[in-house]
Amino acid sequence: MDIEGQLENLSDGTIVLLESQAENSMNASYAALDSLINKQGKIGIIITANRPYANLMSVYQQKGIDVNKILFIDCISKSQGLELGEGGNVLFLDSAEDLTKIALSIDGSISRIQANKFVMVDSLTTLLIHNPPQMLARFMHGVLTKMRMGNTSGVILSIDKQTDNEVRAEVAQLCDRVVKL
Amino acid sequence: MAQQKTVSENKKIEEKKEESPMFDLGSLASTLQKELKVGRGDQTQSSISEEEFESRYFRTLIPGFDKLLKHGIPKGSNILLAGSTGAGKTIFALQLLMNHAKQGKKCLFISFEESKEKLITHMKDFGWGPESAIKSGNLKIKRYLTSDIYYKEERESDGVQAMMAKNSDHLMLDLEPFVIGDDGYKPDITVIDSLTAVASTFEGKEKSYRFYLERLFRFFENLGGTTFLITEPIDSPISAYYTGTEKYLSDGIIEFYNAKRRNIRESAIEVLKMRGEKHEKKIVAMNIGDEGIVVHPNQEVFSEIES
Repeated sequence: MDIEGQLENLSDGTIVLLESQAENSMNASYAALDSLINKQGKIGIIITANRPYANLMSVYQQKGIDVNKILFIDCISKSQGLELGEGGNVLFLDSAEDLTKIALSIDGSISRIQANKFVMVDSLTTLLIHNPPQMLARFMHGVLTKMRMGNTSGVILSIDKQTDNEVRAEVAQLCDRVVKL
Repeated sequence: MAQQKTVSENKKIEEKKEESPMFDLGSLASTLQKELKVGRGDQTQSSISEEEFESRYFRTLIPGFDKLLKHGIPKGSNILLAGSTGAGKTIFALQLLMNHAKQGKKCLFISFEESKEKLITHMKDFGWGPESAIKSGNLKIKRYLTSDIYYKEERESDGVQAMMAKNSDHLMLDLEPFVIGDDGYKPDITVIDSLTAVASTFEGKEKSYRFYLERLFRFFENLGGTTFLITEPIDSPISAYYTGTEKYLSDGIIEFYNAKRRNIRESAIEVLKMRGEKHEKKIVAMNIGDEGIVVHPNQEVFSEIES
């Protein structure tokens, strides 16, 4: 299925659960970012539990994504003891297990960015490695509600058939659309 | 037709692109990183006038905390700061004392645990600069040893009622001259750290401790200031916190939680009880950062909190 076709008419505040095969997951995120940032001009808040900020910056730049329009919430670099560096559009959090701080960061970002914006969670499957399903479902419920209140669009990335059924069902029912790639 | 639609959609996209101004996301990232440590500095929105507020209530001035209360902590209350070791009770107490000492209020910290020097070091580490408040006399720290409040066996033989009638308890004798002072010093805010240490001197004398507590609460009530009493749940029959005496006697209870989940620890806080004041009934996130405690009044915690 053509992801750009699925995302190009995304009205403000629409939230999509984007399910892909593991081998296509990076392509799915590139396509989503290309559509939302480069084509629609939105500002992105990316919660990354998969790849560290430095790595994402590099690959996104190679793919021609305007990284100046992305605020990264990096939940992995600190816990892996990676060099954090100074400055940049990034918040380093202690761990992907620290759901409270992730939620606070998303909330703070949504309320401060007054432009058209979206939140991308990369990924639900990885957050499940670090958090119990029920707790993650509660977290996602809170985050998606805050996104709704802030009329913020969203893309929740998930690996098809690798995500806990309960969490998947909870998130899917809160999303406006489920797209399988 | 299809081409026309595409052109129209492209136009819409172009319009949307123009709606998104460039944002200094680097600066936002740095602001958010700081906010996780020091809070947003929001103030409580009270529905009463500032004059009425001043006469009836008291703000802790701890970032985020006062939003858990409709107005504030009623003045003259005895408030328990309850929670396990390391949950942030002492820091909370020191921080609120510093906030008020800087505003010219008379603040007293009575420690049965840490030394005065250690407490001052903690405050310095948080960058609160306690020196001037101490020098001006607005902040006083007094350390007692638990042996200062020993309970003589012969007095117990008089019976608890007789002891109460005598009004000659050692802690009262020691506290009064210090708390009130020859110079007329009378604290607006007093902290006792901790009732748990006081209770330890009454091991095996639960009834005596209960009466002792009643007198202690009455003593502070009569002083007219607001008192914060730190307490920890301990696995002992003397632990009045769990037997309910402290809970019953206090006007308010602020509970501190320190939850561990896998590799992380989360702090949380709750206003469990506040006589004469409406308050939020939820456990919310709290952070002990480089500059002290920050409460996030709208953020639930995701670790399982056991109370």
